[in-house]
Amino acid sequence: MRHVLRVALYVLREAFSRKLILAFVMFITWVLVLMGLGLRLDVVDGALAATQLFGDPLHTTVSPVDVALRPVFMGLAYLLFYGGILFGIVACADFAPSLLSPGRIEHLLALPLQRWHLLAGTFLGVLALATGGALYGSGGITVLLGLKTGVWMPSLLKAALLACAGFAPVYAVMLTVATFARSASLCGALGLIALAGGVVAGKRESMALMINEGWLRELFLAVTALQPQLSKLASAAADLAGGEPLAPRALGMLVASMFGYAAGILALSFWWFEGKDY
Amino acid sequence: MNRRRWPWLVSALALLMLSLLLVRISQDAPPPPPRRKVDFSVLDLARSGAQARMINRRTYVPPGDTAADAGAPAAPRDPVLEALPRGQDRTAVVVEANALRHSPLGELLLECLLSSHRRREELEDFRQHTGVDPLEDLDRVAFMDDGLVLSGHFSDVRLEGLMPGHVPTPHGHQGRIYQPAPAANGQPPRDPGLALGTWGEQLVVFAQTPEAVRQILDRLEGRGPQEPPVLSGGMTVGDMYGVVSVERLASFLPPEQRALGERLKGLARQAELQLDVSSDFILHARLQGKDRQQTLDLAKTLGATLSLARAQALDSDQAELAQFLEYARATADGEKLSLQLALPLEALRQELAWCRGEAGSPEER
Repeated sequence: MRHVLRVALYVLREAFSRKLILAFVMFITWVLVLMGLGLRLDVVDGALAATQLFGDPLHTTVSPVDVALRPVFMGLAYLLFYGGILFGIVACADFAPSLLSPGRIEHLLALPLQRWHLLAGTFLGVLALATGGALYGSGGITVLLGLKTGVWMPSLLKAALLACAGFAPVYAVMLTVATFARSASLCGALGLIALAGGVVAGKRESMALMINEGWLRELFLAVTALQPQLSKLASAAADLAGGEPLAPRALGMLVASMFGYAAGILALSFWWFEGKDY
Repeated sequence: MNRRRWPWLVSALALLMLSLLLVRISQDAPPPPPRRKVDFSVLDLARSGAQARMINRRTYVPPGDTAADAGAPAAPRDPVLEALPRGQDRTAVVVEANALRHSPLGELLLECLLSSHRRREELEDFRQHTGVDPLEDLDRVAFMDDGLVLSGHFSDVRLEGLMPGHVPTPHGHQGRIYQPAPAANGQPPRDPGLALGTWGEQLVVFAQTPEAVRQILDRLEGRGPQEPPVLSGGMTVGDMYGVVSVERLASFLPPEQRALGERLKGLARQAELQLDVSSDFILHARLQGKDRQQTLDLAKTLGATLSLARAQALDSDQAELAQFLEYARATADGEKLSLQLALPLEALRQELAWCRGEAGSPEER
């Protein structure tokens, strides 16, 4: 496990040396600063009385702060989930291919590490990066709104963690593709396909009804059954952020299935990587 | 190098099967109970079905209708609305008694009202005496500044018992006013402190003086002021609706809310109210203020009060009440102030529990 963590730290160091990641962190910081300066919330005894964004009043309906901000949190949860995964696909597509690039892989394989340590460490490092970014963005908004309203709502942080759970199977697919073909663009493309497949899988029952009953519908159901239900997890994240009632057991199972799927795909990459000659 | 790879393949298949199983279990788990929704559209004329009721009640053409006299098709009107006062700063509230009586809240209130044997006897006496069953024959009750109008089915009404020594005298086309009859011994009859009139078999009018009854009947038959009634047909949505002078509204507030009452009086002269109790208690109140900033300040005060009430409900484990208070909001749109409030039936049931405890001894029941 120590070796896996060392590889993960190595990946994180490399990530922070990349301008894209730094630009992302600066962008989130800039958005938070703008919101901090431009957003004015008038809170009276726990009720959101008025909202102004850069001087323009947004609404004059007075209702409890947490109730008034629910739609905002739900929107942010969806943005964190899908926007975060999309950014993760683009930003992290070439981590694994560059790790496995000729010259570098021979150097890494010469170290006292098992092959699967390299892949597991890369996966863990990228996941830590995604989690850090999601928590930074959601944490910043939570702190900002907490300071402005006096009401602390940690639900967005929980939604951000669910977004990271959704990214796990997507990146597992990308990492596995990299072991087959060392191509960042192919990794990115398969990552996008995994995301799209996950969105469809979450709505498979309703989409299956649009297909005429027969072998095509059965094939659709069979194919989508094998994919992680990302859209369902996104809806659960939005419901969590918006304070909607949830079934904790069902959510726990869904999150566990995401990590189970990611672990299964990673195991496949370990199997392939162990057999490859460099 | 010959590395054993098959454990990874087996693990991969096992983990993928496990994730499929977990997804299947998550789908089979029972869904959470949905959040109670409050449908404020029951107070929307176009969506609530009140429009059909409004049209069906337009059954009366006042005799002084100039359009009818000119040969144009007469526009029928609702007689209860025609009886309402005219002008600004007037109070008129209409209660849909029949709808309220059959609503869940109405059943609760009735249970409260008839919880004692004495009250049940009084109701039966009233039925026998007047021929009117208030629980079945009454359709609407209109409370006004100058009187009270009851609408319903009053063909069997025997009101002489309520006004001993008074006889009905015709007034207008369908009206009758109960006037004191000359006594055999020349003495004037005892003043009952109340004046009574009827209009056909569908309206009964109460007022403090016969002159007030006369004015109400005149308004009804088109002999009063030509301004439109304080309530238009479009406002007849819900189980209770009307306009209340803010002065009168402020007088109903508890002493600790006196300052709020003063602010309301400074803001507007009249408030429009609509209430629906067909499922839960849903209230919508509107005020037309005079000053934008004052209206906004009052909206903030009301909104903060509701927010505090929700916090208190959460603290005292009244989850359902707290959930309903999430829908309470005060909105300031320019000089218009709008207040929406909903209360769950269960919370009202708990509030009225004291009343059901006054049933007395089993023998009395």
